[in-house]
Amino acid sequence: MSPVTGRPHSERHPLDDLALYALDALEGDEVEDVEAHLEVCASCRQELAAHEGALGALVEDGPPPEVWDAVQSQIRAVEVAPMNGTPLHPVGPTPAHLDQSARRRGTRRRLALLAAAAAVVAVVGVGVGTQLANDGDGSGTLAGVSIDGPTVAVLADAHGADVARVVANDDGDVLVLEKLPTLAAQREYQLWAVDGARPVSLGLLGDGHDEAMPLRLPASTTKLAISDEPAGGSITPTGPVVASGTIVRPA
Amino acid sequence: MTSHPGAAASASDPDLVAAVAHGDEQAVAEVYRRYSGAAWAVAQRVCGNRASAEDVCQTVFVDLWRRPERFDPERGKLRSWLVAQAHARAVDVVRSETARQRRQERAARLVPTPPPSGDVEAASLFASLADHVRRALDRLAADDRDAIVLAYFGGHSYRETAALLGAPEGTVKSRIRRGLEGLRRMLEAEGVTL
Repeated sequence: MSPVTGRPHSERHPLDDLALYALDALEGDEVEDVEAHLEVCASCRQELAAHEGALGALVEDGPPPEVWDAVQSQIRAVEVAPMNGTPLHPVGPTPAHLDQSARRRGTRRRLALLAAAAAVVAVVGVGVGTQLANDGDGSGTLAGVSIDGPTVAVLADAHGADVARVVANDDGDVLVLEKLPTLAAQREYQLWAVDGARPVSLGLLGDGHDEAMPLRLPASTTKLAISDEPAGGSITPTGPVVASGTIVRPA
Repeated sequence: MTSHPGAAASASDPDLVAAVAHGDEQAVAEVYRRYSGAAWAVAQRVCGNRASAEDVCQTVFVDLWRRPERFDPERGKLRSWLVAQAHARAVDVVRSETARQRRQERAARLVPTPPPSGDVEAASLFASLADHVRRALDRLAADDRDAIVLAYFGGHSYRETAALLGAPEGTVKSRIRRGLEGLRRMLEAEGVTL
């Protein structure tokens, strides 16, 4: 995208200020003036997005900070569980000094007022499990999901019967669900990492009928559990744990 | 919705944000995996210390969880947007810290230390950047580059940048815009999609 340049444009559009805005280099009311213009000017919104793209390219990728635990604890401090499909609203505090200063300067309010209402309207499935046909010995490949690697975890039910396992293929782990009991209506299986003080959701497993699905486990995960949850899942386990097991990888 | 473990890794950015809006923690974890490095880099660069950068980074991703509708996929890429969020937060931290120091100096009746020369600060910031970032910026006119480096990586407002460089504010405004547009042209010529 080429910059919006030329005399006619620059007379109508605050192009200097827009560049400063992209750098967070404006002060006080100047921020609000630009935001008021952005609210009504599509070409300046495009211009700003291009500025931000260029500035983003100036940032090298550093090592991810070890703050995921803090993020996770805040997003789990929710008011209600998402049984009705509505978005969750965490009540955990944002660091106060950041929140206050952002409000004072209207920081990035730009994006709140610019975001199209239609931007996030639909639930989008991010993956689908694959029906599995076993070869008798438990190995096989179907619809692109191989389960030929070694089994590194067996998840057993309360009676000690194996109902699921994790297979370590060369290209990643696969969770294989084999003998989970049939669920009641409006229920769904959910996978958890249960290493720490609080279970960490690893995702929903559907009805648990024979399936194999790629699994990307956090490196620190060793203990897994599957619980029976309301459809749509829970923030923390609320239903009975139907299977659990430990990952043991070959040295 | 049924989101299967590990499947978020192959989802597009807009799909991930849509899933975040519906409370999918796996999706926000995947966004974090993809872009926390970039958010972290800009936060640490501007804040200059690890503790503040961690606060900034944490806030950016918690905000994404709380208000995912603020990201508009029509307007740009998720990475750029998250970097902009992190930058804005980091600038807030730097400016509030600067204000705090000034208050302390007044309270202690200390003579404020003279501000560093803008040229020196710009050179120092520039030297600390990654090679590929330096190469990109180095193709700009020196005046334009110094103004951008001080404002973006130094977290200075354009007025502070003008004072540091001893240049009129209007001139600094023009330099920043010209430099940014030049940077865009260069990146586009190199096939970097903005």
